[in-house]
Amino acid sequence: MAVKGVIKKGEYYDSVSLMLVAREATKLNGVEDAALMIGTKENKSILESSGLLIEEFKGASESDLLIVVKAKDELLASTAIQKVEELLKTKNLGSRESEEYMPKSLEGALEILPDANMVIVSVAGRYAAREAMKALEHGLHVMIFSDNVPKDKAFEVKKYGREHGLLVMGPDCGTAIINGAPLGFANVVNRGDIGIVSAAGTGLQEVSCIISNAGGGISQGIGTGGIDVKKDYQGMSFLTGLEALIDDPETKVITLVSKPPHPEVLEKIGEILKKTDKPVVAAFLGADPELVKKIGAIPAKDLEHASLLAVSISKGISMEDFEKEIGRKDGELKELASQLARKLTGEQKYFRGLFQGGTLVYETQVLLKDILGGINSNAPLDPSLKLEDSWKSVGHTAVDLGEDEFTVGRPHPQIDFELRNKRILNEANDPTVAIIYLDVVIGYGTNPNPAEELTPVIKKAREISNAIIIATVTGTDKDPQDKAKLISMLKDAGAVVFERNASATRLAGYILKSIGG
Amino acid sequence: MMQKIALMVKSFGDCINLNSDWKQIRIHSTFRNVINLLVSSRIISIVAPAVGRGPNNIVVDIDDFRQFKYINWHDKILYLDDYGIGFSGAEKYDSEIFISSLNRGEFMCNLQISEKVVVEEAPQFSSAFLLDDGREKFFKTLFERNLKEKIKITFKALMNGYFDAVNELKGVGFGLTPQGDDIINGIVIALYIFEQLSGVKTVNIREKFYLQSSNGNALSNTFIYYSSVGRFYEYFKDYLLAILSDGKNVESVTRRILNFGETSGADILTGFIISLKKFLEGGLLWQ
Repeated sequence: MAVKGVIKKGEYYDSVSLMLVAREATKLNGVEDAALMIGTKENKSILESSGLLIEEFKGASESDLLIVVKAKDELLASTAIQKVEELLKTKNLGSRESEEYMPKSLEGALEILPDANMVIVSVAGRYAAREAMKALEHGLHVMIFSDNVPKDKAFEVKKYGREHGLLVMGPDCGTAIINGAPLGFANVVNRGDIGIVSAAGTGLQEVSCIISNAGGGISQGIGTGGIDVKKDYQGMSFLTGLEALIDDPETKVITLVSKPPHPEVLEKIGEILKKTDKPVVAAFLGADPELVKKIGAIPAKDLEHASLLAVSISKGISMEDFEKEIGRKDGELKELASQLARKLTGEQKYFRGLFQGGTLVYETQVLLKDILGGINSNAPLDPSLKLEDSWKSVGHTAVDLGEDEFTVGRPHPQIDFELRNKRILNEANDPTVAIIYLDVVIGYGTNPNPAEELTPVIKKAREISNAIIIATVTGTDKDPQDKAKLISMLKDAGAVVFERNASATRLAGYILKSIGG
Repeated sequence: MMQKIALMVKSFGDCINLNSDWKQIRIHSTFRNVINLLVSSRIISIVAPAVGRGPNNIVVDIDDFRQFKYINWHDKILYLDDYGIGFSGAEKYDSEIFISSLNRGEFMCNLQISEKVVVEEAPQFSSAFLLDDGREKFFKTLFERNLKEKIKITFKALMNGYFDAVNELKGVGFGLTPQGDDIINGIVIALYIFEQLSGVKTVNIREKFYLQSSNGNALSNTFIYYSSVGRFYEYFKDYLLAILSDGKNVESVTRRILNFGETSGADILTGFIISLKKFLEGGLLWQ
């Protein structure tokens, strides 16, 4: 056995990060034990009793970070130390200088990449508009990942973009697919002839994945940030995105995704649609389909419907065949629902949705509204259904765990599963719960090991309760998380798994309907 | 070129002396929501509103502090990089706690509810195994098990009246504020509350805890110091008020603490709950 270690000065990490990195280190080839901690006298004594105290550590100070690995031989120990340092770098808060040349200004970046035509801005919200404006003044399109951008500044930037024919995706735009490159939280999808403009981040992910999984492909996926279609911003980015897709020779079908836009924005979209013959499918979740038809778009009931419609049009499938197929699948869902409902006891009657994706929780509420007459939520469709305490479910509940109240001091739920995992067990302990509903959004930027994190909890929940666990996975086979394995593990753990939120929600609705929910 | 005032303070703690000279100032550590400044030997933290108010906190409406690289004190103005920080019109946070009346039965019930939330929801790597040994299973490697055992043995010794065990508990743990320091912080808070409830003076023992546990960790030292003099951060003040008075929202204020600083919140609560129950059962453990 060999024990090797290094001392890092002036680096601070929280306990959990250090423990998680140590855990990852123990999974490396030949590693028996590993530890990362600050160099207090007491920690050194624990290291000693664990056979991990090396001579160099004896002189380390209380503010030093100690990294130590015990492995089968010297080489494996050194390799593991290297890996640990790499893992820490990924958690580093950016206090150290990079050894490679990293441009510190837009001008510097343009010197390295003179042909670049788009800039991603991800700085503190207060400064994001200033950086975005600089890019626009250079004639570059912009994706503003930052949130909390002051309203007046966001307006200014969007207005400048609109007036100069430049795309301003955001602020608070988390997802885009440009020329095949997934940006932010996005999936690896097939390239094709369907263009998307979306004012809903997870909505763009869901639609692009369903299209790709159904054999279609994406030309461009343009995100705008949810605020864009509100009255104050007049859909400025949405309209520019739509025009870009109309002008794009590679885009044959256009799909629009959003919560219902403000009527003035809807009217402006209609004016632009008059200028194109390209078929346009609109999933304005919860909007009146007649209004959508009036502006010249094909109304879709939900994200799944919109995606499959777009694929059918792209592939030249007749609408009649398409609707027949949708009807057949719905029949299957109803049959499955009645089988599952039989397993519930009389006491079990409530739906509990625990969501990672804001658009998905919205879509589920829209779809279940007619069946359940409203769902309590921290982001409800109707303000009167707002949960008094978001941590506690009441009756039928759908919670958006990506809301600020849950993300203060911890990563987004698409990355950190801990909070939802606890909540799953809470719901399982409630004898009145009939359905525990989960979305699992994969792709770049999200948790790299969702199966490992989620399946033990689902198994435990199944041991506690016979509530039906429905999971919907948003992702593609090309995503880094291995979607097929994830689905198979979720099924093995006892979940009913779908790859479309709308289908999964309809199943939940049919179950609740059959038990009189 | 320094800007005169660019960042306005929303509130600042009542233990921050704006008239003192902050020439000996440097950045201690920077995180997304916090930038910790070392002023002489104590920490003053500039924090985002999400972190909340505290005796030594300056709350500024910034959502990411990692962009700042320099701190400067010039012409009686504090600067982050080139941005001056303005205190005019800012609210002063009162970190003291005032207990008007107490129903002991309700209080014990509230403490019980809070304990249940900690046991069920504390992060895996926290010290909540001291409340429920079923949580010991989360410590898997030899080093983790030794760490857990060290915390368990020293804490038990401390709770059995062996004060010097504090020397063994301080500094035990991984990160910025080690678990051992956070548990001690919880015990010191419990001592303060015990004095309020019983009238038994704990000021000397609180001071002794602070002095004995002070080490090279300026953050831990600062936290324990403020607890020892009965000054509390907003999230903990809300918690104390909830369990000491109406009992409303005990669960949600407990959860708020659990969300504080990875395992820190859970560690403080663990030390607080166990020791306060012990004091209420059998009086002070150390003389």
